[in-house]
Amino acid sequence: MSITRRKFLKGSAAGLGCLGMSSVAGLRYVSKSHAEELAAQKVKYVASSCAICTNKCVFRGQVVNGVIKRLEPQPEFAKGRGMMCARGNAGAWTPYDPNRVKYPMIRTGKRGEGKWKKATWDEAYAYIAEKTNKVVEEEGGHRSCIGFASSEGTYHEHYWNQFRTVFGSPNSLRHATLCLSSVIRGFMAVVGTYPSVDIKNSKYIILAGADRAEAFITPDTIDMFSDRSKKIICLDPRFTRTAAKATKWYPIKPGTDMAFALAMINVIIGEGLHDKAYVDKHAYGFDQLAQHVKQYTPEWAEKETDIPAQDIREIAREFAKTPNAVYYPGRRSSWQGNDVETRRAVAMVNVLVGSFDREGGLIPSVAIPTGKYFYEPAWYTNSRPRLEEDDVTFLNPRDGSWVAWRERALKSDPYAIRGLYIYKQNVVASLPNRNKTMELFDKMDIIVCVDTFMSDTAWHADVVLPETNYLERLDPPNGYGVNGIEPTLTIRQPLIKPMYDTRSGFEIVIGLAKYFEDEDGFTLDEYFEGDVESHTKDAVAEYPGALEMMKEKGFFTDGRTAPVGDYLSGKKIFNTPTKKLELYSDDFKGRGFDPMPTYKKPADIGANKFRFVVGRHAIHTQSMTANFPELNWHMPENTVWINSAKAKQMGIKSGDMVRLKNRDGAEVQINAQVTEGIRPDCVYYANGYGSLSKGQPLVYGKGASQAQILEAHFEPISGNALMHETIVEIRKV
Amino acid sequence: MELVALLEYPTPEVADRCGLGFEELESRYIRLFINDLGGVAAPPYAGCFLKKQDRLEFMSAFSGFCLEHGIAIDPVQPPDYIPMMMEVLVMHLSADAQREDLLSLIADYYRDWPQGFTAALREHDDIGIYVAVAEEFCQILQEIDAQHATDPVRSH
Repeated sequence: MSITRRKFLKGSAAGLGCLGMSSVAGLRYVSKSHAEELAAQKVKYVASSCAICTNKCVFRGQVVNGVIKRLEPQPEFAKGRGMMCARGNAGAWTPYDPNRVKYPMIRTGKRGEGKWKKATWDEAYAYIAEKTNKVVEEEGGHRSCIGFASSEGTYHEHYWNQFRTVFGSPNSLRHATLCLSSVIRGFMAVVGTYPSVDIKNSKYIILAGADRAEAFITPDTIDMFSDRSKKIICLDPRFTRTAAKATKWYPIKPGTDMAFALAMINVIIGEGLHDKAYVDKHAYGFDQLAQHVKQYTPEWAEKETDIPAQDIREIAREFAKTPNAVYYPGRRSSWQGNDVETRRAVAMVNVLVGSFDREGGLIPSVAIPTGKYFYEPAWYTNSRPRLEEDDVTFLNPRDGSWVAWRERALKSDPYAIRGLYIYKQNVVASLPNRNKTMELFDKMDIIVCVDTFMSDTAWHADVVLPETNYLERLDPPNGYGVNGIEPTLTIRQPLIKPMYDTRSGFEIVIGLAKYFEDEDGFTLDEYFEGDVESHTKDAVAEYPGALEMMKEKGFFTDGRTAPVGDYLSGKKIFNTPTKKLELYSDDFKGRGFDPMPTYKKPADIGANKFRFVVGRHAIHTQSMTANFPELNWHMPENTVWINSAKAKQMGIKSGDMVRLKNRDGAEVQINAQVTEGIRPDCVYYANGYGSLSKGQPLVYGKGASQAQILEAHFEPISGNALMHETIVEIRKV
Repeated sequence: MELVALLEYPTPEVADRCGLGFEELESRYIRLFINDLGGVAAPPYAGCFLKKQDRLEFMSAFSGFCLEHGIAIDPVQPPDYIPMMMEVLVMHLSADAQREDLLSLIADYYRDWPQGFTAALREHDDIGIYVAVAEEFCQILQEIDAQHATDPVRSH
């Protein structure tokens, strides 16, 4: 249908409404009031902290004429070293992105069709409550039929968790088992904690898969790569930017990191290079380990890892003889099924040379304690355990195990899941095997998604609730940084007022809570007290001047640092069953696991097949930033890395379109990038592309999604997803 | 002012005038301006259609202009929200602005983007309402130029 301009525009303006605040009748958006007040704020600076990655760097935001112009390093934040990475800088643009979710939206077409209507908050809440209460009733009053997913980073996630607990569902899923759960468990089993690394003082660092030159660009990164006196050994199937900056890079065969670590232990113990006094005093199980590793010679390890035996031997000797050496724990997701054991082996290498609780080594993190945010729990008579409770040995009740949980939910075993409430996490783009995630979505009666952009998850939801941007709101104090040696608290403060009809996480939760009741008939918002301002004050009430410092500078530090040597001196006790650093675990043995890391050869991938490996890259924070124009132009599309020799065999050149297919039959198409920088038996492409959401136009249909090609496996000790257990075939299209 | 109203979220009255069901018009409006199949087709923000200028700079400069002239704009929208920019122009016109000021305002802030916005709507607005609004606005700008310019219009 077409309408002529003049024909349509003839018509009454009656009923079109206006704000009526101005001398010109009918103006909705402009007025003459408060102009002097606004003029006084021509240029202002607001201290806050970043949300683009988990490090949460402190910055000073420059706002000119009410518009965010730039985010610059906070000059008074010494830990920042005057640094704000490109991704952090790109955040200035994010409140103004035209594809931002601006209003509550209720789906009107089919899921994924992209038909929505704008709703008021009350309409959205009422819709959610009606659908949810209906399915809960159908499920006999069991609120456990609703799964809650969330992701950290906004500093409001704990309010979402509070809502979940007072709502009465045990099914909580966070990103940890798509990330570092197995690392944490492996190190906990040996040293009793997941430690920080004293990179500044370390002289010899082994980085296995930890792509510190790309994943998090922090002052630690500068420390690592700017000091030429440090020796850095990089083990990675890919030639990453970390590999490029390391002293030496070894393209280790995926799944064999344990072999490398065990061979190092073989040399260190066999040649008497371990710190005998340290081990005698602080370690448990040395004799058993010494016997156990005799079989794991460097010559044996060479066949497994493709790293020359002589190099393994030299690295082991250098590592043991260099004071302040550390085998970096890393944070990244599990590789293969033996991941927890692999991390135990890595932790043990550190213990043998006396690296734990010493300068230049692994330092138990400390934090500045904040006032505990307390709320009354809600009690429900109809409660059930979470779905995958029996599938994972060390299951964190808040993190869950995503892959294991989804498998259960798909089978409705032991009970049905009827709804998903998702806060910030891009489930569709993050979980391996996207087809299964979509299958799960199809089973849901209600899907609620809180986000700032139309992620793939939001696009397939029934209701999207828009959260304020991190530059628009107050967030209560949170710990800064991936390094817990010099603890700092940061907050976020609004640089501009929230735009559109968005709300903070706290406000969203309070509003939603009003529409649900507990068993006694009290609405759930009664379980929430105060507001973010009061919570912020209460969190630091015991530190005089802390609140003022945070409001002025964006951070608070009281000068404390992680005490080095407290465990070695006996002032603190190792948090292990034996109260020692465990080279042998009776606990693991009792649970049916290997008491010491025991190598299991990865299965042969088969001829003409490739192992798909994941990894970070400098430009994006996973899928979160892929659609940011300020960053996307650097890499508008991802490409699959194929080794040049293999590519030549297959007749593939850079730029050719290829099809990858995994063992489940899932396929993607993507352009090839032929490179020397990856092992011949591996392929890789970056995360964040191949979006299903047409609300992310820069990455919609561009390149391929990792979630689509990754097979879904998890390991049963920590519940972590296994990201390197995907085997693919490749064909030129 | 009617143009501004027509660019707002549709009402049943507007849907009636188009001869469309309200939900149908609503869905199309969301597709064009809010969240869309293929990305927002015609983002109602002037800075999205600039070729030579950074959008953040443009917004900051326009906001500064408003402040200097005693105009407060609604912080709920980005400063380059097109309906809001239209209202700023209305306010400036109604305040009997000096000719030079008016021409300068148009040259600095209303020159580069209206055609781009209109072109996006020509491509994606299959009903024709919104492209009619955009074309009318372009026409109004031309009329203002013609009415107030005694010298050739400055190009930006």
